[in-house]
Amino acid sequence: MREVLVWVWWASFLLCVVLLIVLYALRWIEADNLTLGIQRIGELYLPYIGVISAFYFAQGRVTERAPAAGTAGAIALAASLLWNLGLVGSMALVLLTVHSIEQSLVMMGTWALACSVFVAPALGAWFGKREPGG
Amino acid sequence: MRKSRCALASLSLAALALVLTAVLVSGADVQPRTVSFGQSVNLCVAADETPIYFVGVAQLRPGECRSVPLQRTTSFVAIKEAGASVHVESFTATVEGARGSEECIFPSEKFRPVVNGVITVHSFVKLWQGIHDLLQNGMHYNGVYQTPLKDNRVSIVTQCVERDYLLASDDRGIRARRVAVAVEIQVADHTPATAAYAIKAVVQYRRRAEQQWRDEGNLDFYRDEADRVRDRLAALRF
Repeated sequence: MREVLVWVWWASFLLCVVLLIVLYALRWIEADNLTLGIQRIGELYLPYIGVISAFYFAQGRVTERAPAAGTAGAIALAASLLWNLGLVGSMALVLLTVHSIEQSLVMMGTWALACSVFVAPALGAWFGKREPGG
Repeated sequence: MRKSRCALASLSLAALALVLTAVLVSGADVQPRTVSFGQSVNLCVAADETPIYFVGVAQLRPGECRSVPLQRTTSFVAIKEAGASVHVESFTATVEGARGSEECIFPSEKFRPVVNGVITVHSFVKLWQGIHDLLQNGMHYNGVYQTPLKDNRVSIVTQCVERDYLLASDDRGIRARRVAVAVEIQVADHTPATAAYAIKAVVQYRRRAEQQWRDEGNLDFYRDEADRVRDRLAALRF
């Protein structure tokens, strides 16, 4: 389960950055919006990715076994998927010309803020678990 | 005491006469000069005057007034042609409490002069009528307005419009281009006269995935649009 969460977060983060670079390569956005987009994506993702990665590697050393996926794990995964789908979806909408990059960056911030109420406690509870099962 | 009162009254009368004379010299007036959003100003011509043309509004007969509702601070340019003499005056009516609008109006310093030339003018009234009609009806520019008389020059300026023909470029990342033009004419005090003119333009583009408009760096787009205006202008007779 820990690996799945780490993958979800890293894959979504990289996908957002790649989509942004594609927009720039197509010349659909200019350099200032590329920089702004990378900054915004970094601001939103890096606190979570940093903590998730740190817990992942630290727990891997402290306990040989990862906690089994239980209710807390399922909630953490569901919350993470919701958060990441919102952000990747926002970037995809730019590529589909539904939204402009400016609108999407605002939408990503709002989505991340709204979902963080669920995501942060769910991830904290899951990665803070020491005992298997749950 | 009585003498001083008389002197004061005489002075007041003289001042009033001066003011009246000043108004009558121009013959045109715009009142009030400050209004609230959506209120109207009256453009009037003195009863003993020759007809006066308010650029972009109408030619008013002596004693005639025209009410114009305003949504933003507006300059009116009045032209009086009596025989060979030309008198041009501008009035600015300030609108207080104007709301932000969707109008696409660029500040004058944004316009780049790209075409310059001289024209022979037999009637400035016909010239301005012609330019106004050309921009608004001939070239389908929205919101044609005037700048106040400055350094003996008056500009007729347009709001911006999107033009599909400006998209013809190798850059497929651009979704739209918009353009606004300004035709600046040097005013002479007589006709016929040789008047210098300048056609200025602003061109902006918007990328496919962006909301913001950016200033076009390629001057060819400015020249192309200014040339279109000049070619159409050359066909007019004034």
